[in-house]
Amino acid sequence: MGNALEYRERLPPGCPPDKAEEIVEPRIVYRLVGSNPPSLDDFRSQRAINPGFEYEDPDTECRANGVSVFVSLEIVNRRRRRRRNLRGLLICEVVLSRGAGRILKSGSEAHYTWWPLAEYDILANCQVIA
Amino acid sequence: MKTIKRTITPVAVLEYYDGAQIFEGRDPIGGHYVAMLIDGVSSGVFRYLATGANPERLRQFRVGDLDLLTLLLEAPGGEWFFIYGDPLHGEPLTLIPQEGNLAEQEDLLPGKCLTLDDAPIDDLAWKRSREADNTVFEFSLAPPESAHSPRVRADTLSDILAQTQAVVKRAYISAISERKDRGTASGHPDDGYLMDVVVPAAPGSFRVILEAAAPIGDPPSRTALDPSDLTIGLKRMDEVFQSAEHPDKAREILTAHKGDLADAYIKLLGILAERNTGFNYSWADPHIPGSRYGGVSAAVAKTLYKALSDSGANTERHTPNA
Repeated sequence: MGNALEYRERLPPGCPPDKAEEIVEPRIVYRLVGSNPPSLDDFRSQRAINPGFEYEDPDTECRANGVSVFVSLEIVNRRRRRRRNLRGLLICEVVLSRGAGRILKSGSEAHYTWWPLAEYDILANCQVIA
Repeated sequence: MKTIKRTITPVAVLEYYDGAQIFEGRDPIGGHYVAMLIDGVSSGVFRYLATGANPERLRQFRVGDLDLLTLLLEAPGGEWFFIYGDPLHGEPLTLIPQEGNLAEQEDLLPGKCLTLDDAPIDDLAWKRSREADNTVFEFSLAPPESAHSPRVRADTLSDILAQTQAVVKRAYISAISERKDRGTASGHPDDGYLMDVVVPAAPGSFRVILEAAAPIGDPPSRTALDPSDLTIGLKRMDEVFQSAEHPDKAREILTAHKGDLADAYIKLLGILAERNTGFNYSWADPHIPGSRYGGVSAAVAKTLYKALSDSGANTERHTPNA
């Protein structure tokens, strides 16, 4: 059965890793965006922004091909408030549900990396809240 | 006159968001540095503000006891630098000295009270749980003696290891007592000794990895839909740690659980507070996707220990049914 998932961005082999959870149950995450309404540019991975800078470490490279999100509004708000390079950004509440792709906790407690599927309508599920 | 190029090698990413936001580095003679992203993720050129750092003060920042602004402004000799490059490549990065007083560079400095939310932990638990086909629990510590090199006092390690086991055991007892009430428990009394230390200290750190004493495959039909009592106990432990930043919620959760979980947890907080170390853990079960995480910083452990001790949360516990 041809059930290969097509991700929004072209990912390296083995990415996302098996341990990344397939999103099935709806959940809310938070992403910092540059405008209201947000644009798809706000959801480009670090690698999409900076092609040609591949990391040797496959885990690091895979993470660079995903999108950073937080599962805690409190923490994303705190980060934005205390970091000058994030201060002008807006907080978007993103609803992830079946078909959104895969997600993996990475880094600190509330930080996750999300690999969106191509078909997932990100903007329809994203609302700027602060 | 010849100018000597100064470099640092990144050793740890302390905060990540679409790239390394804050990282720690070492110079060729072992000097400690901290660097914070100023701009660059969207432009593709990463620029960091970096300063030297006293190792003990850097450790305090890592465990949430010190804010980044204070750490940067305490830089030895007032020296500060820019770095252009991406620390995630792991290669040495050049320090470019800057003129002037850093305290006056308001447009570069972070806001007040920027502390780390927690210490990142790699996913060794997930890898090992798959290799061993068993539940694996990993934790890391950052006590004062770790400031210069990866080390921990033997008594600190033994106390925290014993008390971690006590928390897991109490959470486990709490889980099986409820499941016994419903007739769904599968636990054997001997499973109370839940975890064996399988790697006393991983190379290059004082991480400790524990593995379930009873193999996860007992009974062999175990699946994600029929989790072991240990797995349920560990999820219960996660619940407790997730409430750490909210003493009222923590108190509510602790008093709601059966068993001596509250006592064990508060005692662990007391040890962490006394030894001035954060505690971060991850655990994995081969039948559950991904790893679960938890922990407290040294600062939160102190606050919570005081709040729970003052309120007598551990005296309101329920008597175990088991």
